[in-house]
Amino acid sequence: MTRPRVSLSLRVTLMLVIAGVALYVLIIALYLTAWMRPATERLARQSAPVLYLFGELSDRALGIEEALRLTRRPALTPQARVQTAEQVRSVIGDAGDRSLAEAFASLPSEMRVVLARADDRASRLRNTLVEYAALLELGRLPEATARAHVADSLRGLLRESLASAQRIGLEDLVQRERALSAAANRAVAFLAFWVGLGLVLLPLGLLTVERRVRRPLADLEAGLSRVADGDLNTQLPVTRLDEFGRVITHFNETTRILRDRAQEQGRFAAAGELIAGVAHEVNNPLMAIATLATARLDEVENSEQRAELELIHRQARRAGKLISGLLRFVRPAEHHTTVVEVNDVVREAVDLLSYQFGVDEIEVVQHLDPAILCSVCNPGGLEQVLVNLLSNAIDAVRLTKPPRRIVVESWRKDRTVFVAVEDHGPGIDPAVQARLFRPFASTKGQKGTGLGLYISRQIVREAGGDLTVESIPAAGARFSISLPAALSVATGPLQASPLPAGRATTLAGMDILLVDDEESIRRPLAKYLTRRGATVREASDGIEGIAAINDRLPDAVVADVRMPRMDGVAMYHALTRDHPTACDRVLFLSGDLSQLADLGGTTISAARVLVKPIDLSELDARIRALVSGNSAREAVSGLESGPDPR
Amino acid sequence: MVGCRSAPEHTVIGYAFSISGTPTVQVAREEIAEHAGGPTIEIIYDSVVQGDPADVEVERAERLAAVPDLIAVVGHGGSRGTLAAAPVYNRAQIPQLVPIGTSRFLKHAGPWTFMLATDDSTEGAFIGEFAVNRLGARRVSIFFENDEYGTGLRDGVTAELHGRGVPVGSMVAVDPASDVPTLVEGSLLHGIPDVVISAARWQATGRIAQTMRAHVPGVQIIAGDGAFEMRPLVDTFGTDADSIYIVAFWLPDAPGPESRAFVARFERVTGREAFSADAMSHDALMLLADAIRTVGPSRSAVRRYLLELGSERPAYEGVTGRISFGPHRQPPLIMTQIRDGKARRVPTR
Repeated sequence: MTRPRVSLSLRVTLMLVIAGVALYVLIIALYLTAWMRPATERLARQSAPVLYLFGELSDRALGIEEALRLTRRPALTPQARVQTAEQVRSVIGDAGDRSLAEAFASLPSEMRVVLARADDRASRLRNTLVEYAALLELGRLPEATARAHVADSLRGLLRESLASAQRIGLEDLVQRERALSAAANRAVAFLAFWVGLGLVLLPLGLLTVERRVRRPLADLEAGLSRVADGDLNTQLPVTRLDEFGRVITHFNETTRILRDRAQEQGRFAAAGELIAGVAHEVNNPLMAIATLATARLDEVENSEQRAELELIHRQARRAGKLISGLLRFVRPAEHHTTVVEVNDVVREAVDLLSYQFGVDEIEVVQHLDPAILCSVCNPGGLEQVLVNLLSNAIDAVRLTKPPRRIVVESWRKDRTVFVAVEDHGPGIDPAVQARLFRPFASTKGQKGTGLGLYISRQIVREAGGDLTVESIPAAGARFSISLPAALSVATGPLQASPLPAGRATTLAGMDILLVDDEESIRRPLAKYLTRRGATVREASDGIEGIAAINDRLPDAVVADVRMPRMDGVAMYHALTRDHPTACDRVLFLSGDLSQLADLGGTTISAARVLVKPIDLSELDARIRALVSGNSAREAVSGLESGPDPR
Repeated sequence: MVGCRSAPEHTVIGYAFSISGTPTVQVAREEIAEHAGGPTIEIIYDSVVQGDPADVEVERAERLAAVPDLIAVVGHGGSRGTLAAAPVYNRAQIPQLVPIGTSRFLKHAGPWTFMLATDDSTEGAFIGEFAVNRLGARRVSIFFENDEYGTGLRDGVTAELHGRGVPVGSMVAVDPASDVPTLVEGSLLHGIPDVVISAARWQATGRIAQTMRAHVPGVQIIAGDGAFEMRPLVDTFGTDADSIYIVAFWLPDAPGPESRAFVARFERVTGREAFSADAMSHDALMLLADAIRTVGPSRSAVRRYLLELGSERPAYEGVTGRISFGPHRQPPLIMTQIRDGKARRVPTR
């Protein structure tokens, strides 16, 4: 196995790459904007006034030339003289009035001096021409002619100045052009160097990103993909000790934990299946025992024998209840929410662990609010949470010497229902407490999965509540479940409908068909129902049951779910097809409610199922409720559709 | 350990002005010498006999800029020369304090150039308002020197008169060499003014007044600050100069202890009365001396000092009033009239 290489952290590497790119761009941008642009702009800006001044002085010179041309034109009449004077003033007027000061200011000294001298001469010449115009208007022709000659001689000086200025200006422009060209060459060289450098550095940068970021990311993605596909044996090589190296290390560790947990879960699931099978098999004899004991009670007069029979019945019921709880717990939870009486769930959870409490000499003190505390949640989930908390509490108090005590409380405050499980164990280390609800955080070492509290909190939060912990080291821990209180109390699915007023209190006159392959259950039940006044027929499977129904439609059919040849659900489906009326008269007996789900595709309501071991008085009540309900429905149906064909 | 005192730093203030600035330098040198401590301040006076051709001013500026230990410059005399010289100082980053130049272009000459006087737009408006309000002008002729001072003042006056609905009959360019009488007579062919405004130096102004009064008795003459050279004007034109209105930035009768002390000192040192340009130049020199003493012999520190006047630090109390260079500064403008060979203050409102 290759040893991971020590290299710069990914963060530092990326920062260096980004800083390098930013510096690269910054240098080019700064060069272009802060140096190149101002330099070229300065050159261009300095050229503008030169050009402007040349234009301006040329305009003035042209005006003066034109005025001088006018002075040579004969003006014999006073009107002609006035006209010429006006024309002279006009051609030298406007351009001469404009100030050249601003343009002068930005010129180099030598040029400024030359141009200023030219401007002074132009100004003098212009003033001379103005004098000429005035003299012409005043009719002082000889003086005007003399002024014209002066102006003419000044023209030479002006031309000389302008030529000199032009020469310097042209030299200046040529120099500027050279400077611009040099600047452009420097810019090209600079950019060529930096582009070349960029071309060298770019592959290096890309290679770095490829090796340090893209490739590890792709490996990680592939690894995650394999894990998502179920391959929990996936392990990635750690080649560097950077952030990705650490992420891959965590990934490998997480995958290993997941694999271990999955194996553990598999074992749990197999154990659950085993328990479910055993429970089902135990349920039937328990029901036979309970039923026989109940049936015998009516026949026995001796009070001692009655007491013994009642004890048999009670113990069988207790064992059955434990089996039911066990089945409910090991079966995969159904994610359905319903209105739950929280105290009932608490009691069931405590019952489920009652053996453990006894073995470990733990006293369970229940301070349950006497009011009905209802919440909307998944009852199986809530029971799972409570069993988990109680199991943890058992583990905690086991570490202390007897007497050991666990307190379970429930109460309601405003719109919230609370359940607390408090133990007087050694408490939780504050360091552990901070991460107690995280996955794989366990205080039990290899014994715990590290998922119990994490899943428990998830279940409670899904129901809109929360799970919190308070702990004082060496004094114990207290876990509190808070759940939103239900606004109204609803009837649970397994709860039997109360008997309507005026209904029959015996089964007298009822025709009942019992369909069960277990004779040890069927016979005592038949005996009991017969004694309650019913006419009872028996069938050992669904085929016999359908034959009996075909023979005569009974008032009620009590059928086991699991039977050889044709089970209860298959029989029900056959009746749905052939005897729809008979379907409404079927009640099921089952060792496990989930059997109905296992058989699949059924539309049988859970309200029609009696879970073994059943209390005979409950069976009595359910049969009576079913028969009277069907009678009322059929009566209404008969009124609507005419006389019953039977 | 024995402490030792280093010799005070030597600093130079350049003064570029016409020859008429000599007395100002004498007074300033004496006043600076009276201050004990701080760097030694020398004033180097670069003068010209007359006029300020641009090429001459540029050469003077370059000469001054090359002086070792030069911290700042006062000058130059006129607007044109100052404008020509300003780029030299701005390029060399030397603070330039302009005492009497009024061209509005000086405001944009560069960050190292500071104007002490008002600009020609404001002065032009001041003259225009006076012509109309005080003299009741109905028709005005303008004679201007064809340089930045003359054209700037002409534009300021024209804008003001135009705003007040007073027509400008003639606008005639002149220079010191012009045949002013001919130009005046020529202008009269185009209309008789009741007020003549001269945006020219004292020579042209005197001739304009002389010729105008010969042809149009009772005509009023107003001149800008460029003509305020009292002694040559009065000496050359005598009674023809009488009753000319001239704009000044300061008069010796100005109130305030600084002004009175300056008048007394000036008369004692030079033996003559101080004029507006003397006071303005004196203020410029003393302000720079104060700046050097306060912030040290550094061009940039002196520039910062000037910028901070009136905001971060109090305005400088000068002979001509409070001096600062912020947006709200109001340099003084006074209208005077020559009477009996002297400039007398005239109310403007």
